[in-house]
Amino acid sequence: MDERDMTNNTTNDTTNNTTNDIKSVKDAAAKWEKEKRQPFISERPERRSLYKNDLGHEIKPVYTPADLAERGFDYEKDCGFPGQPPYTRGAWANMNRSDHAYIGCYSGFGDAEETKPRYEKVVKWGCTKLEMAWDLPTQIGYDSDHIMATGEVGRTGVAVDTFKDIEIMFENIRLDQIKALQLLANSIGPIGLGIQIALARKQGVKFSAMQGFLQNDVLKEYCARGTYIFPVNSAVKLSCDVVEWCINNAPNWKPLCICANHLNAAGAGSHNAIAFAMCNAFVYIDELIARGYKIEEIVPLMRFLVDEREDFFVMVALPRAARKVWEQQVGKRYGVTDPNSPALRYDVSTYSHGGETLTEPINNILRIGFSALGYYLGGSTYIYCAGYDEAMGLTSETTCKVAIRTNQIINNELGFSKTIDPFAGSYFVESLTMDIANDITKQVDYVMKNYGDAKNAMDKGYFQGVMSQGSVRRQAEFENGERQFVSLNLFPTDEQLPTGAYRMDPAVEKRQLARLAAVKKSRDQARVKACLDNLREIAQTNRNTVDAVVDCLEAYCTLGEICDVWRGVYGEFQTLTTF
Amino acid sequence: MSGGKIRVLIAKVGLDGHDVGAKVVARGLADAGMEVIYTGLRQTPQTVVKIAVQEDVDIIGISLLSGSHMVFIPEVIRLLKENKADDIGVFCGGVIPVEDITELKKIGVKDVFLTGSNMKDVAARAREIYAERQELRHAR
Repeated sequence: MDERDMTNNTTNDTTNNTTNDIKSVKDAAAKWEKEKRQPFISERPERRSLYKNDLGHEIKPVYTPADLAERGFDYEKDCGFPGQPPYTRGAWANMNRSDHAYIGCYSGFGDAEETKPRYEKVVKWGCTKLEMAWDLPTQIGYDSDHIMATGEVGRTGVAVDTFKDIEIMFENIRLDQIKALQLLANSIGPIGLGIQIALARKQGVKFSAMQGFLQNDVLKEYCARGTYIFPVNSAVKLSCDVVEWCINNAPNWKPLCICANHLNAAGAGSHNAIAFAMCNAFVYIDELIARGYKIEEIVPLMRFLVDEREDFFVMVALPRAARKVWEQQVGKRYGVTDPNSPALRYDVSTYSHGGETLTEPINNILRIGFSALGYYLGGSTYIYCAGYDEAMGLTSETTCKVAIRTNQIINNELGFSKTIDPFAGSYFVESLTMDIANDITKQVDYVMKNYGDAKNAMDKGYFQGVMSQGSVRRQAEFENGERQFVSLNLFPTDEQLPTGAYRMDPAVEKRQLARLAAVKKSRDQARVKACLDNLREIAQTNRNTVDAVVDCLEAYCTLGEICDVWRGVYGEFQTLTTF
Repeated sequence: MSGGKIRVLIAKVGLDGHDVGAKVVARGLADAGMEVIYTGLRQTPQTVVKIAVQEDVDIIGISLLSGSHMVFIPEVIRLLKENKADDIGVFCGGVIPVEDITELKKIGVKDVFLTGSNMKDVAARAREIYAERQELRHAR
């Protein structure tokens, strides 16, 4: 055995370090810097003038107990144990030793007939959370035969016009056979939930025997993802209808996922993105509290998507920091004093991306794999791995399989899942966790103090300004070589760019239009009219729309017809032209 | 080059909501001294061409990540011709399969910028496209 393994003390608990110990470490560090490192650098200069991460933290050559002492790190206060405040080490008491993280697969293309065999395959391969990718007309509430759907049908995902399309795709997949079914449904949350409800009823699956997941986080659509339909307040109302319905009927479902990922991808930086997303979360929570629900009933139905694409160690530290900040923020803002309150638990989801390149895309398997591993070790309980060919277009069957296998390897091989939060106590990761937590807290407090809430901060352009600065900075860092991508701006490839991206057969669009026309012709027209009239009345009188939407779906009303009812009642959001 | 600034319209066509790239290019060209207008999301080819003509832009930059480029971009080019505004140069960027680049250039697209492009290349091409337009206008 290597001697170091026997002598290296892996517990870095600084609470046992006396002031004298810290002083001694500091002295030793100063001595090493002066006598060893500086002379070394004078002969072998550093490769970079400054080592930093995307959040702007300068990264030191080594971290020691003194770095934790400087930050006031206290093991029980800042780290603790999994499944209890401050939740740094994990949302659940036994984490992945009891339950594997959900394995996601986001897929869908063309029409229901095209997509059906793909779903059956990914479930067979071990996807435990099937995520339906919808085309843009579906996400924005236009039927395939609408003028705005021209050229868009089946392109970014599968076209869904009526519940008929869902029935086709799920003919052979029972909802209690997979762990969870996720729809994004950000601007049309009640439709996403309605589909899950109608499908469960049709298959005779109890709500308690399955889990419906939705993204349903409409607020970020107005500053980052862009599939908004209605004015902000009406949109928030619809999102909250979904959560309210689940509180009363399916409290084990996860109908709201607060997304930092789109905000970070748009340039916010992973710390600011989490802060903005938390402020978004408070908007939904406040609306639901105003409807009479308790915070303990609301938060357990929420999940939180965090995001970092530049730095492995930030991927580890970020979920740890975010869980801790949430516990403090919810305690402070909602007066939660019971340490056992489920409102304090922030359950982390992640989409693994690691700066994938279009050049030599097979190398993206590694980038995505490292990202998944970072999140896994940071305590994410749901991980979706991107397809390594996503920079080309829709993911192929092979890349979906690699994505699922990546998760399965991390879950089961190489010892990653044996102990919980293995980076705890690392001088570097704990320092980073403290710094990121501090950044998130400052940003949340700044937004809430200066803007009152996230809606106002967006209305005033604050979130957008931070994101815009960040995206321009990242592009500049890419161009000046600070952000390096192998095969792109470092060791540039001599290979041709890859070809063979998915192309939809034009016949598929015709088939979708024919199916839509056939459904419209064969349905009970009087029932359709009655269901839409009922939905209109419920929307006008500001009641929960979910049950009315389920009736509409079961009567084969189109998604466009349902959204047109809402457009008539709520109006539409107008695009912003600032940049 | 004349004293006027290069005028660029950055456009999002169709339902695609991913506009990070469009905004980065808009900012980059503005920082390079050009006058930039951004259409915002969900424009039709008709509205893009209408704005381009009204605003008398030299260049239209279209961003598309939704896979609908072979539907919308030829339509923008066709409408520019129909409006006798085809001296306006068009470039595009986003998620576009390399196989389509030749076809897009054949119908008159000046350049296609994929993910991983450099802003200074985009700005340099914009200046060239502008110069071509000036020559065209001179010749007419």
